[in-house]
Amino acid sequence: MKIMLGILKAFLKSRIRDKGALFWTLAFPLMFLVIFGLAFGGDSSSSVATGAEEIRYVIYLSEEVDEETESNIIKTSEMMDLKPLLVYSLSDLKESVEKGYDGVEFGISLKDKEGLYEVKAYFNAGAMNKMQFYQSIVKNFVTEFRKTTAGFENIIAVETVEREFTEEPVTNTGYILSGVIAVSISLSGITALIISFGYYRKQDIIKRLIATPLKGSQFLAADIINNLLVSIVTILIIMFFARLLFQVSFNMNLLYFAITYFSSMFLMMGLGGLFLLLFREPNAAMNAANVFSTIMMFFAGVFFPLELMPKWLQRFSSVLPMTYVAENIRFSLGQDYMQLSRFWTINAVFILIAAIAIPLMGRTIFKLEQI
Amino acid sequence: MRNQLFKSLLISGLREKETIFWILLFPLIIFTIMVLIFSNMTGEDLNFKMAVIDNSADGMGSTIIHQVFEGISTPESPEDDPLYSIIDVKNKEQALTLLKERHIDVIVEIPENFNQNFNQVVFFSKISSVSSENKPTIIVESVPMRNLSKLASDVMKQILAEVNLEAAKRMNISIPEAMISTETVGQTQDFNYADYFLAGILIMGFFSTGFFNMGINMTYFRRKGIFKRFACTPINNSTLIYATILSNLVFMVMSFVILLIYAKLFYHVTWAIFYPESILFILLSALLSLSFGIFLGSVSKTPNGASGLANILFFPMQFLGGLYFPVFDLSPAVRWFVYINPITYLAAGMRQSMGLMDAPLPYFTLFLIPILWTVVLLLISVKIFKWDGGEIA
Repeated sequence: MKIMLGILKAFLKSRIRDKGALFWTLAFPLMFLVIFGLAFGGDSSSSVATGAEEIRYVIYLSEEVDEETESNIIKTSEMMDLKPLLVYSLSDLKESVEKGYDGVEFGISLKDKEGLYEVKAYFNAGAMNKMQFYQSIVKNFVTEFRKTTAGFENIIAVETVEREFTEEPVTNTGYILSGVIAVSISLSGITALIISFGYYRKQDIIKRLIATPLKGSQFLAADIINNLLVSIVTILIIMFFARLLFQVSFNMNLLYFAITYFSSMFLMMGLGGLFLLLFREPNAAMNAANVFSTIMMFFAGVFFPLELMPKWLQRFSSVLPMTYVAENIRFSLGQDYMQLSRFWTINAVFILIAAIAIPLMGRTIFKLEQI
Repeated sequence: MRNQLFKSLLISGLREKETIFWILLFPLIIFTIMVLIFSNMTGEDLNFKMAVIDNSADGMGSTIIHQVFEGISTPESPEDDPLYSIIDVKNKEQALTLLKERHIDVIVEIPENFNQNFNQVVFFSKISSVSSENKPTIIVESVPMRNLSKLASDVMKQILAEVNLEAAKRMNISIPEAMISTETVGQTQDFNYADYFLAGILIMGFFSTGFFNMGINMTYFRRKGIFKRFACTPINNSTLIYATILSNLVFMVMSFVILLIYAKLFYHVTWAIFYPESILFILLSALLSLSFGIFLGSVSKTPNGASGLANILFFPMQFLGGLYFPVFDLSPAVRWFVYINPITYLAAGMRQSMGLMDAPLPYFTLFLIPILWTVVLLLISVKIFKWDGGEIA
C-alpha cells in the first residue's frame, strides 16, 4: 500500500509539474463547454417547439390581395405566435430572408388567384439546419389561414400535454452540457493509459521500475487512481463553470453519478489500453484513440440528434460506448430518464469490459518489458 | 540550396506519421463524418411509435379518427416502415410508462365524451355556437426534450389539422384552396452537403498545416538553435524560412488533392471549387494559415507553447467559423467572435463563390477581413520574431 501511495504521489507530482499537459486536461473540456454551451444552448428546449418565442417572418402580398385577407394573415400570425413584417416587393422579401434583417427567419409571398391562394415560402440557404422546422411552420400557417379566411372553427380541438419524467425541469443548455461532461470523461479515459503506459514504456521507465520491488498491479492501480483524481477535478471545474456561465445546476444523484463516472472511466481506460496493445507505438495508439473519440463524439447523439438519422447510422451509434456514457451521465445528472435496469446493465457491461481489458493491457506491457 | 532545403524539409515531414495522419488523413475522416451526419439527417426514415387510448364509445367521430390512424400506420410499400406504428396498450398508465421508458414517442387519447361532443358540433353547430370546452378534443402527449417525441407530436397536430379541413369540406363549408411552393434564397445551384463540407474541411486542413506544422516547426528551429547554426553557414536564415513556407504549401496542396479525389470518388462533389473566385479564396486561406503559423512561431518560445496556443486559437476558430455548421444565427454571446474570426469570411466566401449559398456579409469584407488579418499577423511577426532564444542560445 505504501509503495502504491508513493508511486501515486509521483504520478500526481509529475502531472502537476507538466504545466502544459495540466492546462490541456483542464482547458480542453472547458473550451468544449463554452463553445457548445453558447452555440447550441438556449433558455429552454421547448421554446422553439412550442412557439414560446415569437418568430419573425417577412410577407409580401400581391396587389389583388384585399384588406380582409391582410387582416386574416395578421390574425393567424398572432394565433401562432408569429410576427409578420410586411414588405412591398419580392426583391425586398428575398433580401430580408437572405440577410436576416430584423431577425427575420423566413419569408412568405401570397397571391390571390380567384379563390386559390398561391403561397410561396422563402428560406435562407444558410439556415439549412432549420429548414424542416420552418417548412412545418409555413404548412401550419397556411392551414390555419385557410380556416380563418373561411371563418371555420376547428371541429376537433387538439390539446397538447408536455410530459417531463425528470425531477426538475430540463433546459437545453443543461442537456447539452451533460453530454459535454460525457465527452470529457470519455476523452480523458481513453487517452489516460496510453499516455502513461505507452510513453513510459517508450522512455524505458517501466523497464527500470520492473527492476525495483514494485509490482505491476501497484503501478497500474496508482496510474488509474491518478487519472481518476485528475479527471474528477476536471469534471468539478466543468460543473462549476456550467453553473457560473450558464446557470445550469444539475440535479445530480451522487450515487448514480459516481457509479457512471467510475464505470465509464474504467471502460474508456480499458479501450485506450486495447489501442495500446494493438498499435504498441504510443503515438499510433494515441492517433487511433483520437480518431475513435472523434467518431464517437459526433455519432453519440451529444451534439446531433440520433433520432433523425437513418436506421443504419442509429445502429452504428448503438455500438459506440460514448452513446451509453452520455445516456448514463444525463440520467445521473437529472437531465433525462432511463430505466434503472438499463442503467445497471450498461454499468455492469462497462465494468466487465474494463475488468478484462485493463489487466490484459497491464500484464502484456509488463511482460513485454521483462523480455 | 533553397531547393535542397525545401526537399529535405518535405521528405522529413512526409516521414513523420503524425504529419501524414493529421494533415492528410484526418480531414478525410472529418469530411466523411460530417457528410454522413448532415446529408442523412433528413428524417426520411422516420417511424414514430404511438399509443392510442380510446375512452370513447363507438361513434362517428372516433371512427373517423381511427380511419385516419389506420391510414398513417399503413406503410406505402411492404418494405417501408409506416409513419406511425400503433403500439397496443391496456390503459393510460401503461402508455405513460412506455412513453417514459422511450418505447413510444407519443400518446394520443380520445376522451370519453369525444363522440358526444363531435355529434353536437357536426349536427347542431349551425343552430347554436359550441363553446371551446364542449368541442371534441384529442389529447396528444409527448416529451418535448426528446427530438423524436416532439416531432411525433408536431406531425400529429398537422394531421389532425388536415382532418379538420377534410371535415369542413364534408360539411359543405367552403374553405379556400392554397398551393404551397418553396424557394431557397442565397444559393445559385442545388445545395449539396458534400460540396458544403468540402469547402469547410479544405480550410480546416490548410489551417491545421499552418498552425500545427508551420508554427511548431518554426519554434522548434529556434528552440533547437537550428537558426543559429544556419547563421554559421553560407546559407541565409531566410532561406530556411522560405523552404519551410514552401514545404508547408506543398502539404496544403497534397491535403487539397487527396481530399478532392476522395470527395469526388465517393461523394461526387462538383468542380465548383475550381471556379476562379473559389481559387482566390483557396489562395487566401493558404496565405492566412501560413501567417498564423509564422505568428505562432514568432510569439511562442517552445514547440509545446506553440502547440498550446495553436489549440487555443484553432479550436474556437474552426467551430465558430462556420466550417461545420451555420454560425450566423448563433447566440449574441458568441456572435462577436464569429464576426472577428477570419475563417468565417473564408468559409462564407468560398461557399458563395462555389454557388452553394450567398454570404450574409458585405462582399468586400469576404476578402478584406482575411487580408487584414494576414497583414496584421505578418507585421506583428516581423516585429517580434527572434532568430535565437533556443536551448543552445
